[in-house]
Amino acid sequence: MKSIPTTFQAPSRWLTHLLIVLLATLATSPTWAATPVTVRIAFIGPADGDAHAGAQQGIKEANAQGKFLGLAYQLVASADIGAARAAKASAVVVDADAAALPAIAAAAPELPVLNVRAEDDALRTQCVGNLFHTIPSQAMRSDALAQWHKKQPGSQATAQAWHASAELYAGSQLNKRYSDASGRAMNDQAWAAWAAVKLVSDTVARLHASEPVGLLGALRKDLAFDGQKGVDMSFRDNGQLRQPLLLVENGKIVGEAPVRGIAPNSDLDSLGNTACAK
Amino acid sequence: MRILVLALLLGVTLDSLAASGRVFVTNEKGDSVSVIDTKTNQVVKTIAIGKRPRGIGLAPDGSAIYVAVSGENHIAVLDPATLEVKGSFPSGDDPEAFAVHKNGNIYISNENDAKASVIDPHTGKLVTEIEVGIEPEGVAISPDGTRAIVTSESTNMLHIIAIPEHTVVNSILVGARPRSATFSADGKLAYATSEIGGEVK
Repeated sequence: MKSIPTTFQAPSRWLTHLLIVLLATLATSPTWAATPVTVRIAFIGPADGDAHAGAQQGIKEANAQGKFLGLAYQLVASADIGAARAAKASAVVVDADAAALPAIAAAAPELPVLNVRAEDDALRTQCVGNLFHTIPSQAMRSDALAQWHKKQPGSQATAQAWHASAELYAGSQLNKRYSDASGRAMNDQAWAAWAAVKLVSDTVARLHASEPVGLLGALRKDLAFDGQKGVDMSFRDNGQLRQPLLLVENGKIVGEAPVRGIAPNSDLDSLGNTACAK
Repeated sequence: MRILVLALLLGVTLDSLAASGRVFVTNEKGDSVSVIDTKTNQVVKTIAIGKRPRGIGLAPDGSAIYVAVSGENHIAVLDPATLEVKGSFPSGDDPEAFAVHKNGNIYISNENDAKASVIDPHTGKLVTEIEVGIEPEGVAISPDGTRAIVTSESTNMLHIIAIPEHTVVNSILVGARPRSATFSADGKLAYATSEIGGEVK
């Protein structure tokens, strides 16, 4: 397996389109083992929720990649963190309220725990080492709206992680795949759970390893995730996934935050908190 | 952006024939193909082609121009001499980009199906389908005709397909959203653009 390619932040989306990947060889790269290696991702939360449907979509897409790499992903419904551990999960996706999350993360400090529901800012500023958040925080949403109102005073928009009418960056294809499979429209929690599974599987594929501690380190330091919102996404030190938010008014996407011309350099860290509480 | 890329790619193809001096551009939102005279840089004809035309390519002998009509799941065949549509054949679901092998066969990415299809344009028949990753897009064929590359945008891979076996012999992870792919003239290197990843490997 070749080393992970270095990625960098390019100055604009259209310029990145033009940048080139050079593959030194076509014939000699090894293909992984013929017998698939099973990678388990635990899911704690309601089995009939949007997050569960999003996680299942993530698993389906992970396997679409994994079949070429000798990796088979499974979503393991787990009653609690003990069950997730017993199932030898590589990571845990949690659809639960904020109150439940610190104890779940503390019970398995070696396991990446990915929060796909709770938006509480306090969960971020606690900076728990193995707790990640793919759902945007409340502060991210309010900062996005504040930026938008500077440009569009009086707008009644809401700031969302995702919307079922998203088209750009193959958003329409993701929406179609998800609604065909689940019969649902992709909402924020479905997107957050899809993203949680997909960024774990992307990292497993690039590491060619699913052992939790290595995965945890790579998620913290080396993530460059394509969440189909047009930019590479990575985790802040406080565990929050950096991401653009969509501004939605009357059921239509009217803008995106960071708001161009308002947020300096469209910096993703202009949304929400980046610091840890002392 | 897409239109510009297609224009450039096809322009190169036609110029290499040193014959027609024309550039053919698919208009994805206009449901048409524009024909531009390279001497005058004027549009000489706009051909109604069907819903959402995307990829475009030339038969090896220059006798036909193929257009992937994504919204109608077929490949339209244009006569480069008369500039008329002279036929079409089914392509599988949602054809996007394709490449024409020197033996005449067409290799198509089917975006919504996670497949590549191989079609013989002379019979209009499907030769085979090959499973690839999610949202396949770019297709390239090596100059010696023994390898095809199909990019999968949402799986972040280049799939290397052996010809004529039509098996995936390797799948290479690259940066996010690989789209277009091409081989160097000697076939030793291949290049692919990464829309989001922006990387050099």
